[in-house]
Amino acid sequence: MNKPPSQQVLSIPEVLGLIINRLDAPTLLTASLVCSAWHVHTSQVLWRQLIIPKDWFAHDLTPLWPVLDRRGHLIRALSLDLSTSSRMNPDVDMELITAQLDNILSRTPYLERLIMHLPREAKSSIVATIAKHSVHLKQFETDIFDWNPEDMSALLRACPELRQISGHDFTGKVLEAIATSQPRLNRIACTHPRFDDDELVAFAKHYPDLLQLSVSLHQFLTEKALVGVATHCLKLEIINFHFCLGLASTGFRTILQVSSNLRFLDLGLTEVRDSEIQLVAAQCPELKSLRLPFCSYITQESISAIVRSCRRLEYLDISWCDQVRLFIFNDDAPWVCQDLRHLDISGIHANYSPEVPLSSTLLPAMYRQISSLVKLEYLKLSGHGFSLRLLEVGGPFLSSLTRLEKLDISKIRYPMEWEDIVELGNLFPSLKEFQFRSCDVIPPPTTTRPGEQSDVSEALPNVISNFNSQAPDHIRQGSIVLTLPSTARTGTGGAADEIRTEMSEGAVKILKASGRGRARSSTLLQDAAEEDAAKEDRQRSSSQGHSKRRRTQTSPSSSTCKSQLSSLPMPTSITRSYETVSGTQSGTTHGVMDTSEEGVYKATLRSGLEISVRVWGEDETSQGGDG
Amino acid sequence: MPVILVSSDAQEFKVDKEVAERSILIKNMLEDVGESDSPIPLPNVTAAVLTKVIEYCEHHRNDPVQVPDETDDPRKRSNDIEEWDMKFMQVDQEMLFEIILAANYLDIKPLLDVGCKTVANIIKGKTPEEIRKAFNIVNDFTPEEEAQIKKENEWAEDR
Repeated sequence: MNKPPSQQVLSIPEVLGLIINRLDAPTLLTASLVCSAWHVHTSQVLWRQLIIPKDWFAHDLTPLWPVLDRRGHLIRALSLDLSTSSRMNPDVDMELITAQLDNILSRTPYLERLIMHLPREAKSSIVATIAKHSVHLKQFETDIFDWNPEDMSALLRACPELRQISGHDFTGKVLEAIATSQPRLNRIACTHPRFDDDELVAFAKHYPDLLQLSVSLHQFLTEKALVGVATHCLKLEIINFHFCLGLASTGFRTILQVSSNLRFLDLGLTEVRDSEIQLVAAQCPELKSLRLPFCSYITQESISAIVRSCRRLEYLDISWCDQVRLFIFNDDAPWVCQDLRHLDISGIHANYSPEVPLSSTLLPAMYRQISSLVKLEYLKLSGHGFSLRLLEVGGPFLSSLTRLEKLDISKIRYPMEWEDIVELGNLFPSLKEFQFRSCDVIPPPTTTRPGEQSDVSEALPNVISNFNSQAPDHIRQGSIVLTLPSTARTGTGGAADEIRTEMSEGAVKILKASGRGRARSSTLLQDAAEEDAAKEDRQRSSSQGHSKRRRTQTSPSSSTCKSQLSSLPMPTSITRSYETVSGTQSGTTHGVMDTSEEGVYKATLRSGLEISVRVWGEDETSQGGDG
Repeated sequence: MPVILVSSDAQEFKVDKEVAERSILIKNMLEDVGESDSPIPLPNVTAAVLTKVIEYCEHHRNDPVQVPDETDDPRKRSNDIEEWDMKFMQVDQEMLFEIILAANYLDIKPLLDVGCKTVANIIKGKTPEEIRKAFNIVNDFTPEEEAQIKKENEWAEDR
């Protein structure tokens, strides 16, 4: 009884577990060495997830097997990654892939979530290996291209707890196989499906309790499918018809009318109209995520309705909706969605009218509204057709966004002075990523020819270093990212270009997750919607090519400024405010423009983020200012 | 209507029902007892600790009740502590752990959470030996076990 309170507390397993759950990756590793009780708890967090980086079947993992023999029973989520070049490689060694998979899965008997990427030519018969070992599987995500429906049936019969399937190119036969083998499935997501209206409705008929229906990149699905689904599925929480161009507005109305449990809605690149979104505003109080990029029929009417009624909204993407105007910010009352973490209003239009002047009324209103969203972690407000006056008008407001981790202003209408870019970045103490293009920057007068629009060739190396520096953040959530022994790594060192592309892709993915730090781990195990979201994002970037030209122009020329944080962000406000002080000093001395290399400007922001931009003459890409 | 709480050292505290009910233990007791003004004994909590706990509950009396599935969502887990809570937790280590014990016993989840975050922040940046020293923990590893864990950990370290 008279033990000191610290010992009493730490001997309560639940409380020790709570404390250890709060530790970041490096601290978890240290804590595992404290004593055996701590080791038990830290192992549970550290080994909860395993990510085997690309290409997962190409590594010699012999040294991993004895470790997995001891720790594999703790693994609940597994991600097997692949590079795009391997995805497209027609030479597929199924024997090698199957052997590797068998070796991993036989040692991870309690796996609940599996993300498996495979070469396009791989046979779906590989799932027999999953069926053999992973009987506790609950979620399965794969990009198997050519499914044999019988393989799907066999998998579902072997894994009775499977509730969520995400895949590519499902045919009507695959849907039928799912429906006849796993009556209790409740989430399905399919990219680029090959089923038709009737086949989707027939599938829906089996699942009155379906929670998630995500169908993206389906060009021929029509209203008939939605009407059919709406008669059977009344509990949908996640609806996604991203880039389904064949769907008419009335179809959305039918399905949204019966979906008052809605939490997640993605109708980007569709013909959805105001009346449907107003319906959502009126009857979906639980809505957390709304994604409507490139919806050209949406106006500020419905968006205003959403921000006046959906209190739980955390994610709002209304980028490039041609009819949404700055008026959405012109409410006197603050938006009710005070939990908003992600806001993308790139491409929003101003309204040029004499009654409501832009600079004295609309812009301050916008920044005032944004500044009230103090939980924002991501803000993208680039692409406007007018001057944002980010610093002069926005500055005094935006500094309230102390949690902002990612700011994207690429494609602003008028370039900003480099000093102003630095000053803008310094407004945000938590900033980890800051995106702009080189042509958004006016370089200091000394070096380069003014007004020259050019590309940033450093983007890729930056992305790579960022990828690495983000890794600890990524692991922090308690996932093991496999560290490859140097011998295993050499094999993949081939064509440099490929690797770069890959790295940058990986970085996007991980950044997306690490934007909120915890995202990746939680998505692996828990939040289907969120993962769906991240996936959709990836899909969207791949779909840009088909969608709108200006969008594709943005991404390749984006200069990316990267976090070089060598240490993880300090957790306590005390340290943070201390950091702020010292950070501001380095910020005010930010004349520290390191021009050691000609035309390259660098600065360190108060958050520790290093930004840089290179301005050089050659390689003038057409930036296509969309006037 | 006020509720009377009695600490282990027999000191009485009169608090609003709403405040007392931040503790799920007390809330359940009140529900079981029904309308009654008899004092509630809290034999595991001293007056000094109870004063702190009540201060916390007073400040958070109007907080929305946490929905369980949201607090378990690891995405929401950050070690950010609200400013007031941070100041509140600036106590010596013995009191910190006393508060955690009381929060655990009284079932006040947000307080337990803040306490655990605070401890996590103390752990951060320390070596295993410093952690043991700080919390009176005995190292029960054999050198072989320790070596094995270090080896396993290499898999999880930054590449």
